[in-house]
Amino acid sequence: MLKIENLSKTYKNGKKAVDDLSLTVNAGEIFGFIGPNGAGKTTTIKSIVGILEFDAGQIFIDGLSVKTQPLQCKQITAYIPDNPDLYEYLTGLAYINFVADIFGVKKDEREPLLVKYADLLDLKADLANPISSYSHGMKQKLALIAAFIHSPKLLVLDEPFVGLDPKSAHNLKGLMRDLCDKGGAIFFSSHVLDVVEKLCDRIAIIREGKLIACGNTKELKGTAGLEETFLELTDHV
Amino acid sequence: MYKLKLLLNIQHKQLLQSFFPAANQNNKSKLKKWLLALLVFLAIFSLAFSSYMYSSLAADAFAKIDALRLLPGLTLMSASLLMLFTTLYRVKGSLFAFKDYDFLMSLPIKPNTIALSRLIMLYRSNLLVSLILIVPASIAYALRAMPGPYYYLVFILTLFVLPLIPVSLAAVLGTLVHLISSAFKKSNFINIILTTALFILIMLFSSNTQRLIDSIADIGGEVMGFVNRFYPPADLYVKALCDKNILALFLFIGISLGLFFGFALLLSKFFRPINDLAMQNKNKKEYKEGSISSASPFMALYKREFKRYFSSSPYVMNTSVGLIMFAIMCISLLFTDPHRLELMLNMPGFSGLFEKSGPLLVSFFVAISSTTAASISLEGKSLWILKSMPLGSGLILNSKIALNLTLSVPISLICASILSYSFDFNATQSVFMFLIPLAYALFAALLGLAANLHFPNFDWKTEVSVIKQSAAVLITTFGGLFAVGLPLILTFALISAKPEILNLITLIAVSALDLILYIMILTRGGKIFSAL
Repeated sequence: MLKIENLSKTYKNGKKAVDDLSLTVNAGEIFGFIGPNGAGKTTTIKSIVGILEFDAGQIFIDGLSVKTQPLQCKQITAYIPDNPDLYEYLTGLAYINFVADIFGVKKDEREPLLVKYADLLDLKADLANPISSYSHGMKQKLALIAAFIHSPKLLVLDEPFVGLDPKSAHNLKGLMRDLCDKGGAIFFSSHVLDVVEKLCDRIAIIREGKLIACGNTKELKGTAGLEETFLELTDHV
Repeated sequence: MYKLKLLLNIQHKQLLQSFFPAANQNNKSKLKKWLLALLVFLAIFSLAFSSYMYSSLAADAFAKIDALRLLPGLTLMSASLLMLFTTLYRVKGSLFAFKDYDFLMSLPIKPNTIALSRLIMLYRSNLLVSLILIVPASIAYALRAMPGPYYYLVFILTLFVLPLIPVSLAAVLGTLVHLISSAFKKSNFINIILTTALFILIMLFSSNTQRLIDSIADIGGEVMGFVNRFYPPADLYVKALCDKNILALFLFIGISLGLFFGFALLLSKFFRPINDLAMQNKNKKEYKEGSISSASPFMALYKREFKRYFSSSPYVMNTSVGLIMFAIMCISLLFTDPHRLELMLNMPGFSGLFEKSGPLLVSFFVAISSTTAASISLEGKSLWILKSMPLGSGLILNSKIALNLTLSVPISLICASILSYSFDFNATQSVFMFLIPLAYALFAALLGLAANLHFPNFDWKTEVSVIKQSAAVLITTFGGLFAVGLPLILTFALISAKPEILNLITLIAVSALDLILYIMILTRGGKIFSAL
C-alpha cells in the first residue's frame, strides 16, 4: 500500500532530515514509525501526504507516485497531524461536510458514516457547535472523523491518541483495525511505545533521518520489550 | 516594569515578523527583504509627502483669509479621526481575543501588565501615523507662519501626546462593540454591523465637519469655534501651540494622559472578565440528522472562503468599508442632484470629476479592496488541511479570487449604474463605467494573491497583523493606488486628449495585466503554493 524508496530530504538550512529511507507498508498492516525528537518522522510523514516536497527518492501509494500523481495519491490518503489546527470559524458539521465535498463522498453516504464515527468518538452532541469552542481532544476526534469519512486506503497519523479520552482511544484502535481488515493500511507515528507495541503489526525505528531498524513487532521487541529495544538502538547505533 | 518591557519587545518582534516573516537567509530571500524595506520606505515617504502637499495647499488657502492658525487644529482633527478610524477595528485582536492570551495569562505576569502592554502597542503604532502625517503638515505651517522656538518646543512635547485621545476613544468604542457583540450568538456578525455603523457615523461626522469648517473658512468667520465644537482638544492644542498658552498646554497634556491612563486603569480591572466573555460558548446547538448538504469541490472551497471572511470583523472592515462608503455616496446620488451634492459636500468640480474620471474613481475603491492579499496568510497553521487534500492549487487560488470578486463586482456594478444614470453618460461612457472597474476588481484580486504568495506569514498571533500590517497588504494597496493613480494623473495632465481614448487605453492595459497576472498565478503561483 505504501512504498518509500530511498527518500531524502534536506532543508534549506542544510539540515538533512531524512537520509535514504526505504520501507514498505503492506495492505492490512498497522505500521508504527518511531524515533527520538528530530529524527525525521514528521518530515517523512509530510512527504508521504504531499505537504512537503522531497529532494530524492520515490513514494508510492497503492502503486501511484506521490511525485507525479499527487492528487490521485491524496484522494486515497487521510492524514492527521500531531496538532490538528482546524478551521475554527466552521462548525464541526460544516468541517466534515467540507472534507466530504472535497473528497467527493456522496451525500446519502455521508450522514450514516458521520453518525457512526461521531457516536464511536462521542462527538455527536457537539457537531453543530463552532470548532473554536472545542477542546484539543474534541478537535482530534473531529480530525479523525474527517479522516475516516472518505474511507481512505492509507491512513497516516502523527500521535493520534494525544488528547483522546480512554473510551475514544479504545474505539479508535477498533476503527484502525477495521480499516486494515478491509484492505487498508495505517502508518502512524507515536512516542507512546506501549500503544505502538500492542497495536502495530510492524515497526520501523528512525534516528537522525536514517532507518535503523524495521521489522515484525514480535521480532523487533524481542524479549526485552519495545522500550528497551528502542532505547538501546537509539542510544548506541 | 521589566516584564512590561519584555512583553513590548515580544510584540515589536511580532509586528516586524508580520512585515518581514522569518525566511531562509539565501540571496533571493535577502533581496526580497531589501525590496520590501524599500517599499515600506516609499510608502512612508509618499504618505508624508502627500500630507505635506495637501497641508501646503490648505495653508496657502487659509493664509489668504488670514486664518493660517486653523491648519494645526485641522491637521490634529483629521489625524485623530484617521487614528480613531484605523484603531477601532483593531481593538478586538489587539486588546481582546488574541491568540497567545492563554499562554500569557499562564505566565507569572500580572494581567494589568499584559493589558497595559497591549494598549501601549496600540499607542505606539498610532504614534507612527502621527509622525508621518502631523510632522509634514507642521513643516508646511512653520514655513509660512515662521514661529519662534516656543512653537517647536511645544510641538515636540505634544507630538508624543497626540495619539492618546484617539487611541483611548477607539479603545473605549472598540471595547463597547466587543462587549455588546459578545452577548449575541452571531457575535462576529454583530461586531461587523456595529463597527460598520460606527465607521459610517464617524465618516458622516467628519464630512459634515469639513463642510461646516470650509463654509465658515470661506467667509472668514469664527472657525475655531467649530473646531472646538467638533474636536475640543484641537482648540487647546492650537492655543498651546500658536498662542503660547501654558494653561492650554497643560490642559491638553493632562486630558490626553488622563483619558489614556483612565482607560488603562479600567482595562486592567476588566481585562480578564472581558477576555473570558469572548471565550464563552453561546452557540451551543444540537446536531440534527438530515442537516447534511453537499457541493462541488470549488463551491465547497468558495463557501469556506466566505465563512472565513465573515468570521473576522477586521478582515471585513479593512477590505469592505471603502466600497460600502462609496456605494452609500453613489446611492445618495439617486436622491440628490449631482450639482446639489457638490454644494452639500462643498467639493467644487465634484460632478466634473465624475464626468471625466468616473470609471477611475469607482476603480479606486475597488482597487484598494483586496481580500486576497491576506487570504493565504490567514490559512495560518491550518494550511496542512488544503495541502493534504486532493485539490489542484489552481482551484484553491480561484476560490480566493472568486470571493474577492463577489464582494467588489456587485458594488462596482451598482455604483457604475447609478453614476451612469445620474450623470447621464452616453453609451460609450457607460460601457467604460462598467468595464474599467471590473478590470480593476480582477486586478486587485490577482495582485493581492500574487503578493501574498510571495510574502506569506503563517505564524501570526493576531489576525490583524496579516490583515493590516503585512507586506502583502502593503504591496497590494500601493500597487492598486499606483495602478489607478497613473491613468488618473494622465487624464488631468493630458487635457487635450479625449477621455474615451484614455479610458480605452486604461481598459486594455489593465485587462492585459489581468491576463498576465492570472496566467502567472495559475502556473508559477500554483508551484509556489505547493511549496509553501
